[in-house]
Amino acid sequence: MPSIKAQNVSLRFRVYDNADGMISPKGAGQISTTQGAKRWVNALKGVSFDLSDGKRLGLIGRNGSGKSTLLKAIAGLLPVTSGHIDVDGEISALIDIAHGMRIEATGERNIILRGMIAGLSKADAKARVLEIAAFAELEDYIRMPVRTYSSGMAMRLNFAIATAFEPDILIVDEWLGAGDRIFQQKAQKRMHSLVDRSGALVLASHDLALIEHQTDEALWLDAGRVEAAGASGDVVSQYMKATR
Amino acid sequence: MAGRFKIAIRDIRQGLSKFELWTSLAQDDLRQRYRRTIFGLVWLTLSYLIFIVAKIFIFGAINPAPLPWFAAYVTVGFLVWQMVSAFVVDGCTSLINSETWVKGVKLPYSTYFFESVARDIVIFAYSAVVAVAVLLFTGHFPGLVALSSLAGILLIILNGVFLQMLLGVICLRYRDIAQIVQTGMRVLFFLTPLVWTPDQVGPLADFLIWNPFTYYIDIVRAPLVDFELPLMSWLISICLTLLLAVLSVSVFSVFRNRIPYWF
Repeated sequence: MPSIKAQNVSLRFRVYDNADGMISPKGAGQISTTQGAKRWVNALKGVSFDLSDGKRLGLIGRNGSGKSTLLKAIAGLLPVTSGHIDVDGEISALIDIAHGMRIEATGERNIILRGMIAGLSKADAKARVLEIAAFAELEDYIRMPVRTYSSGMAMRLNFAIATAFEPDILIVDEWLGAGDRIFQQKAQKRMHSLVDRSGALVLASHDLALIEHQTDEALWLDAGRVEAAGASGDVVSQYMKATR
Repeated sequence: MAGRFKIAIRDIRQGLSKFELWTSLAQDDLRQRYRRTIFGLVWLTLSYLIFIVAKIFIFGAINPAPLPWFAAYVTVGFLVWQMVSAFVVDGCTSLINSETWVKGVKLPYSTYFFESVARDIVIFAYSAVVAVAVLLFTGHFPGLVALSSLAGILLIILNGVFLQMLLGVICLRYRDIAQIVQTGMRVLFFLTPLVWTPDQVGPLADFLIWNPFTYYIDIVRAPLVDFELPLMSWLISICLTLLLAVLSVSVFSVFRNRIPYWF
């Protein structure tokens, strides 16, 4: 059974570019300074959750509240500053469309590269190209460089790849919205079947209806802290009340 | 510290096992560089040939040594220099250039070091064709001692991996280092006996002992050009390799966790 357990996770990072000022938007991670002029962003503060019973977790909160940072930390892309995240299962993450793709390479080539990253041999990855390309419905675009794709097409390819190699845990950030209506329905269906196969899903979105329908539990993040946690319906209604 | 060292070693081991991945990534890097050209990677051979011919005739004219010997000396020396210098210069960008991968997919960071080294080995191989031709043409038929040149190349490649690791991490954090290194390599080209011989520069030759590149060039070039095994250069090169290994693995162990935050 895939599971994710986060215990008192805090994450802050230093900003090296020259910056001035200390005020951050409402709900976003706070900027702080230490030792003279060093500037830090406190992206997550004491976040805990346990995803073993509920298999689908939704993340909501204002811009900058730490949703994507938490997704990246779960995916193992960002080491945390303190606390622990224990993940049981293979993760596939869809966090930024531009990342994990070679835009100069063809869609086909990207499928093979990502297959190898997922642990397949080159030959096995090659064998999966047709099926993944068919799901992305890119037709002959699959033999064109990804830089010629529209953002919706790039998203379709990335989604098709990320879900193709049977991950135990799928992590999806907001941008699923870039697909057209037909593809969104198809994508949701695939997410369902993945979760049904005893996989887990972590989804961050501003689409509250999506969170309510697609997830069992939700976390509402505010300035990097957990403002509310529990059944998705409850957390969403609390969030809606607070942001009316 | 012991824990961090273990994690770094595991990263290197896992990265190494992704051989198919990093060779494919390296292949794509090169394809992209020569995209839509007619000659493709053969440009590497062509440009090396043109460059080397110009060097032989210009610097050969002011060198007292016989031209065939000097031609072999320049061709092999410059071939090795080209790889060493590529390892140093590309080391500075081994992580910076992989930003979208580091941020997008979970892979051992060493994958990017191996990708960079693999790319420079391919470039070396395309230029080496010219060097082999020049050696045969000038009557330098490699004997048994030439096998030690191959070992020298392998030692340099090992240094290449450590250079990607050390410079990749440091240059990611301190962006000025890349500029310093690039400028330094341009100067070092003239301070290394490549297009001139030590006997040409008089007392200046004494300072060559302080240039580590001299030894790495020597262990590959001397067996091919002079048919001798430079034991002193081998000893120094091995010591330098060990030093670099300790330094680079230490830096990688200590700062590995910071890498995604330094972009």
